[in-house]
This record gives sequence, C-alpha cells and structure tokens, in this order.
Amino acid sequence: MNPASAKAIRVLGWLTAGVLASQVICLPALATLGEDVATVENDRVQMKAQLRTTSVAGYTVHEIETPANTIVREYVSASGKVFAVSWSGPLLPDFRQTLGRYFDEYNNAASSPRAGRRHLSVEGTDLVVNSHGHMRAFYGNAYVPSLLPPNFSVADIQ
Amino acid sequence: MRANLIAALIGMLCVVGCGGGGSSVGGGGGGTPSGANVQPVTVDSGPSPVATSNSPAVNTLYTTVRVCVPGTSTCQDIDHIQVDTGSSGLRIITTALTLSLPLQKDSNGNVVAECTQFVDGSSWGPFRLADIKISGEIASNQAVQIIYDPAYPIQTAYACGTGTTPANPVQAFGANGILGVGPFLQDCGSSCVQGGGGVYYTCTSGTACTTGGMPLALQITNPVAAFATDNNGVLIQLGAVGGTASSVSGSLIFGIGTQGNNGLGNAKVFTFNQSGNLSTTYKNTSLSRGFIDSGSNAYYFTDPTIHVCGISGETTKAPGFFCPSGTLNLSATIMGGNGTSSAINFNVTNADSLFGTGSVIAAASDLAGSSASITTASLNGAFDWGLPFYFGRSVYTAIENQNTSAGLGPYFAF
Repeated sequence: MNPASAKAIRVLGWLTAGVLASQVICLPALATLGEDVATVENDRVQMKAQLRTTSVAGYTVHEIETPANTIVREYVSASGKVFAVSWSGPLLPDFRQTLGRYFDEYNNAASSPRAGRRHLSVEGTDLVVNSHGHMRAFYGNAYVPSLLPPNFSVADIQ
Repeated sequence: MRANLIAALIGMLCVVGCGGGGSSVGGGGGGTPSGANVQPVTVDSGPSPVATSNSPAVNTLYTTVRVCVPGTSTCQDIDHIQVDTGSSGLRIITTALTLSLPLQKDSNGNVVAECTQFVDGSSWGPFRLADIKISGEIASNQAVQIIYDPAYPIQTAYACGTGTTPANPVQAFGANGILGVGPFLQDCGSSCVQGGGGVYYTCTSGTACTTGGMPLALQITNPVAAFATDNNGVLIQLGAVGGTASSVSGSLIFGIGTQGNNGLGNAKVFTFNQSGNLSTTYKNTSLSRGFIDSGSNAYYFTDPTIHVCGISGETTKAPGFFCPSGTLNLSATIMGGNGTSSAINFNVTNADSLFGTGSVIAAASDLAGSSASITTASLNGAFDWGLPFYFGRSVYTAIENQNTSAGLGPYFAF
C-alpha cells in the first residue's frame, strides 16, 4: 500500500441518532487541544490522512487516520475550540502537537514511576489524560474540563 | 474477616493449580526447574536508585542479562532488567552499561536510533550490537537499544518524550533496562516500515538524526527468536502471592515444548483476535482489547462502580488505581480468537492501603487500576492482565511465525 495515498474513510459505527450532518472534507485539519481548530496544509511529519467530520448536537468530531494507522479524533465545540482528543492505534500521536500548551503538564505526569509501562493517568483541574496500551495497540484520550460543552458527557469521548 | 479472606485466597490459588512456587510443568516433577534454558527471575523493589526512591518498584519482574561484545568473551552482567511480555527487544539504560559496543548501521552507513513509545514516557537511544546471553541461550549480534546513549543524545527537535535526558535515568525508567519477550518479532513491525510515526531514526552524526521508515530487518527484535534452540517462545512461572510480599522468585524458561521442562501440559492456548488482542468478558460485557502482560504492574480495566483513588479530591498515593472500601472478589473470562476460554477469579484491594505503610511491598496480588477515563461511565473495551496474573501460574508466550506443538505463534497459553 502506498503510504502517501489516501486512507480509506472509516465508518463511525458508534454514531448516535443525534447526528445532524455528516460530510467528508478532503483537506486534513490539524488541531491542538485548547486551541481553535484550523485547516492547514499537509504536514508530512505529523498528521497526514483523510479527514471525516461529523456534527453532533453541540459539537463536531474530526477524525483523522495517521500514516501509522492510528485514528485520532478531535472534539470541537460550537465556538471552534478543541476540547477533547482521543486516539487508538499502533503508535501514539505526536503529543506536542496534539496537546499543545498542555504538553508539559502531560510530560511531568509521564515521569511518574508508579503508573507502569502501559498506563498513565493525569488528573489535573485543567487537564485530564488517560493513556494506555503498548506499541501496536495504544488508546487514550485527553480533555480540558473547563472547555467541555454544556451537557457533554466525557463518556462520549470514544 | 481477614482469616476468611486468606482462606479464600488459598482456596482460589489451589483451584488454579498451585503446587508450590516454581513447579515444573509438562511431565517434570515438582520443585524449581533447572536447565540451560532456565533463567531465575525476581519480583523485588528494583535496582538501588529505584528501591531507595520515593517510589520503589511494585509488581515489576526483573532478571539479569549478560551482554557481550559480538564474537568475544568481553561481557557484562546487568541485573534488574525488566522482563516484559508486552514489548520486543532488549534495551539498556546507558548508565548501567560499562561495555563498549559497536553501533548498528543501515545500508547507508547511518546509525539506527529509536524513540520507543512507552505510555509512561518515550525512551530515546541508538542501537548497538551485542551477543545476548541468558542462562545457556545465546542470541548473536543483536540490536540493543542504549537508552540515553551520550554519543547520540536526545535533541528537542526529535520530539521524543521530554526531549531531555533525565537526571537519574535508571530511577526514571524503574529498571536498568527491559527485556521484551513478547509475542511479536519486532517491537513496531509494519507500522514503522512506512515511517511517519516518529519512532525510528537514522543518524548521520551524533546530533543529526532524522525520522523515517525502517525495514523489519533493522527493527529491534525479540532476542528469543534468535536463539539457536528454545526459540519459539517463553514460559514464565512465578510463586503464588496471597496479598503482598517483599519479594517473589520464579523462572523465565525459554522455548515451548522444546525441553522436558517447557511442555504445554494442560495449558490452554489462546490465540489473538483480529486486533491482535485477547477478548475478556467482564460483568457480561465483551471487551476486545484484552492482553496478558508481565510489564504491567497491576490488573487494569474499566468499572465505574469501583472507586478510583483520588477521584473525589482526596489525598492518594495511587492516582488511577482502584480504592474500594473493602476487598472485592471479581471474575472475568479470557477468550482467545480460537474460542478457548477460561474464567479467572481475582481480587481487588484498596491500593492506598498498600502504599506508604512503611513495610516493603514489592508484590501485590490484588492491585488493580482504572483503564479508562476516571470520570467516564463507558466501558472502552480494554482488560490488562498484568503481573498479578502471573503469580502462582505458568504462562506461555508463543512468538509469531514460530512453530510450537500447538501451532504457530503468536498466542498466550496458561
């Protein structure tokens, strides 16, 4: 398979009946937790794959598949702020890009020896990170509690 | 209450086939196994910088590995190498290595390096070549990652973990190194052949490394597969633990069905599902992301009914672990892709009651942590059978594409 070619769009089987619209956008969107979502040109080192965008009541989910086959989902509020990200796949996403200004807080927690090789939990007032797994099978999420849309349940971060 | 709990634990351990710690399998008699394919392993508080720190090791399995300059008898024994069935390849913290080993280079003469992804922090380092000798087995001329090797120091530009070398790398890592004896041949595999994941690098000089794809032949590999014999997998046998212990001993036995001491016996084989995991059914929910992992220091799963330490803002020494008010008696069923299943009884105790008591706790059989967001109410499909699963058991890990009496790996068996 040519890694530079577009990846197949994944069907989001978990969508609820609250989906208002579903569209495929061809320009990949690079977004950072806590920042405004922005559409930028391809970054060959970072995220580079097709994008699927799904609007649910009160927020939008952008799904990206990285060249390493990791699925990254970016949850964007109605005002355009990225309030949560999740990932699932064989390699970790680039946390400097994904977590932005929250990267240092994540990194400090990543030095905690108690967590063990396969699990990391950050329970900060402004940042929650749950990162699990091993190479070939990582999964996790990160969100900013103060940016969660009203009536949003963190259980909806898939 | 406590006497009843201990009796229940002993009863449970006998159900899963206790016969004394370290008993042999497959037709051998009782007692500690021996042979050229048997390597002693221990669960203890870790190497000195870890054992004397604020966070001594808990549920971490260690052994001693001998590395030699390839083709010579110039060797070094390095203790407290973590034994990990969740990764592949040998990695050594640079401060624990005194040998001078040659660098591994690709076909262009460039040094190969890796930003190894561990959830608790990425590890940077170039590959050097060594003969790896464990017990009587030898893996010749293997790539060994030297974590924080000063000849190829981490640069901020590599975007690997913190981008800096820790002040005390052994303490930060929790071990002098890690021996990945997992079910896969390469640590990364096809995901890293194509590049783009920021894992593999080629270096034209000590400070000039660029990320890119890496062919499988140059990726760091499970050294067991390179043994001349006993190379199709490993068997780990640990003593039983009823609650806590200051140390546990056991054996890392190389090969499955290759010697009199490593036959499958009555063990059941669990192949992987399509996502490379085992399935686990817990409280009537089928979870697809299950795995057995000696490198995890507890059971990890999602259960919103179990209180997570610190979740209500209370002080905790164990954030992310479970802190039920009493000890819970739980059960979950492991199922392989081949349909084999086995119900496992296990306990979960209050993690805060274990840490900071003043006595040395290096092994805790009933330690468990939350695998999901601490506030989510959804089950996210994961169940990590960490090191407590190994206490009092014989657990086999078969390597992919290697032949065993029960077919080709990869699989787990117990």
